Amino acid sequence: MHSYLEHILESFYVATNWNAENQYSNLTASSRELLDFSLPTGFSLNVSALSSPASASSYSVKNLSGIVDGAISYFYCAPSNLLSSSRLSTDDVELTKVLCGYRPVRLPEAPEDPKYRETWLGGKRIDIKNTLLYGKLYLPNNILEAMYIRQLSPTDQIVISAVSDSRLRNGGTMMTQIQKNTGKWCSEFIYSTDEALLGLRGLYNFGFDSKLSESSSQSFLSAGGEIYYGVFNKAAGVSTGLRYATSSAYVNTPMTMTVTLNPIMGQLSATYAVKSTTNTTFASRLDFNAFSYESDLTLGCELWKHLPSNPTAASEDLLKQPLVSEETAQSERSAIEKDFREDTKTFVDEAVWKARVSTSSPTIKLLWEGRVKAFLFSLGAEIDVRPGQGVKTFGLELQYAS
Amino acid sequence: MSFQFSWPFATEDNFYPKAKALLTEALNKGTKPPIIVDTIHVKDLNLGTKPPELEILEIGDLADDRFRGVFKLTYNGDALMSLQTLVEANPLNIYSHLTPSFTSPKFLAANASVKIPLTITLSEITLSGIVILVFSKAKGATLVFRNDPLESIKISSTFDSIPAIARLIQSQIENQLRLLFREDLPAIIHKLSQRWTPNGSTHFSATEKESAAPTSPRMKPVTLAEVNPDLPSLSPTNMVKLNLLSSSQQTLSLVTPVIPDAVYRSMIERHQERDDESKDDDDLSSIILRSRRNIKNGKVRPHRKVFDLRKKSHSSYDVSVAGANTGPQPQAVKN
Repeated sequence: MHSYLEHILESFYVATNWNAENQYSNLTASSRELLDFSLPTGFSLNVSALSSPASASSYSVKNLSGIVDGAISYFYCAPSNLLSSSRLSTDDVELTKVLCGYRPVRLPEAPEDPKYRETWLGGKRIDIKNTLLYGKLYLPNNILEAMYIRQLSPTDQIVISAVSDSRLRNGGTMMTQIQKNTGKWCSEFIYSTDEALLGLRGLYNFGFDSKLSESSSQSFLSAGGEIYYGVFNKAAGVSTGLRYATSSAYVNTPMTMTVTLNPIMGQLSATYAVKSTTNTTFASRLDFNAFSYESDLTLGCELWKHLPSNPTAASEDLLKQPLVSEETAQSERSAIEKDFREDTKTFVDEAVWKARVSTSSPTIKLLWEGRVKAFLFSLGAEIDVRPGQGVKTFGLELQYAS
Repeated sequence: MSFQFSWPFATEDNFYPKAKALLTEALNKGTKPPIIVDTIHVKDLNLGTKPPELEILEIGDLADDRFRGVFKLTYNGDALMSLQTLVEANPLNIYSHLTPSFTSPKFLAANASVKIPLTITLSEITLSGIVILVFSKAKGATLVFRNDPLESIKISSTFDSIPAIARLIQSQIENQLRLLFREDLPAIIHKLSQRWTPNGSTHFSATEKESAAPTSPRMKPVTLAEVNPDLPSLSPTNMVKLNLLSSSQQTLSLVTPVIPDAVYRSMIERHQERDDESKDDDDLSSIILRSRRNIKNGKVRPHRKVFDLRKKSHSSYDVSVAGANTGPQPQAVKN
């Protein structure tokens, strides 16, 4: 299950027309969600509220084998009506957005003209650049996390994140990312104060110019690479990747294939995720290391239980969000949808089962996530299949947002 | 004068397997640095045929239950130790484990993990140093090296073909061994020797019992012996008196036991040194402290101080100090 922060980040990106899938770090995102999902440990409860259209707060309590931890987080976004059209409360949020699952990759679009973001009054510009602020305090560990995102233009974004922790070497770390995302390519420059790590990432979508006009194009190929260099610890790393994704169910089954290669370490990894029916997705990954001959095969699947007449998740994601917010039309549409959902609500609205096995570990990871009466539940277990071993970990996570 | 050691380890059966198991367990206890990915196995352990040579240089403080001496230790034998483990070869992988996840750039494949097997063999150890050995029946034994005993050591590993890495491993292990001899070894020997002292044996078994019962990772029980190994053994009568004192405070009892040769916290100012700087302090608290001290020490007899407010030139100190003339003399004077 995505944390409230990830959910707000995603709503922010959607509301500001920032295509996060165009970033190289999300090249394998769809298969990662199916194969590398994290299980809840112990018991954790997360209560969040959108206190005003521009600010939200979230409190979480976690109990792990007797140790109780908690955290308080606050969000603020500008301009204030940015998140007004996002459905953030758990009783009507769209579950495919908040529960980790396969997401069909969106076709990249051309960024909007920066002139649309200008607002003039009396000869002066009064528009506020899209900003998101986030702070989280962990108690009793006394760790503080902060994040600041600012969109300087429809194609440029700067993200600054920092952690303050007395156990770290310098008391804290700060990382800055400067991202440039035109629909055709996306490049990022990263600097982290921990070991003075410099990084450069880029992704390029093939055939963007010709596909822009074609609305029937359903597949595209992207290639990207990353290079890092840590100045203090003299560590360097390089990797390249390729992704081929199809997204429409009418032409073919939606699927995503990726290949990533780390030439210095000789690591080759290939993934294949396919959405065979509207409710099921299968994913597999093969890792191979040319130097140490270690190989690993991971398989994962997910089964969704949707509401009886819910529009399928795939097609809903492809509906384009209107650029200029038609707030009244939007709110009317969501109100009608909400009424419809109220009539057909059962005790467990929507749920998803996920399972994952791997040759590198003798365990099966199982996860059940669903919405029960406005709470999002997440139950996870890791079972060791060797004879004599049983359930290794078991956890429950509850999330509520209003 | 020198000692003769009997070095029967080679012929003693079941010594080497047991020692290897013990050493493997000791090396794998605690958290390993992220560069070591697997358990450390002791592949080969051989204490050699030649024992170390110990020569007495000086003996001081020799008694029935105490012993202190300065020795010269040399070792030129053929002891051998071989360790095997897996190490992580990708520095970015180690980086992504150490950096907090919130500020770590989301590596896609640049932090792929590559595990390389590593075998290190330590052989041809030559030690030569001056060691001070202290033995006391009550506290146990410990030894401290006066100089750095490690003269040379031969380290061979699977990276010998790459001279840069071989040099790095050599220097790292030499530094660690020097640290071990100077800092860890005295503590280990002292802890082990506690087994044979009468008080230490109870401490030893108590710490063992406590470490066997795991509590939450944040609250590990700490014994007094761990904090201060040179603790004088606590006498039972003192412990009883301390118990009486603490219970008297909790039960509002009127009897407060007096413990001789002890400093009570409430009376600590009586035992404070009289610093020169405090004499020049003009503020109220130090004046009161000083006057109280002077009265208690019998230096000054307390007398009442009268301020005549009718007089215009009265002191700037609106203080009625029921005490002595201390500090700068106030102007008001009995008229």
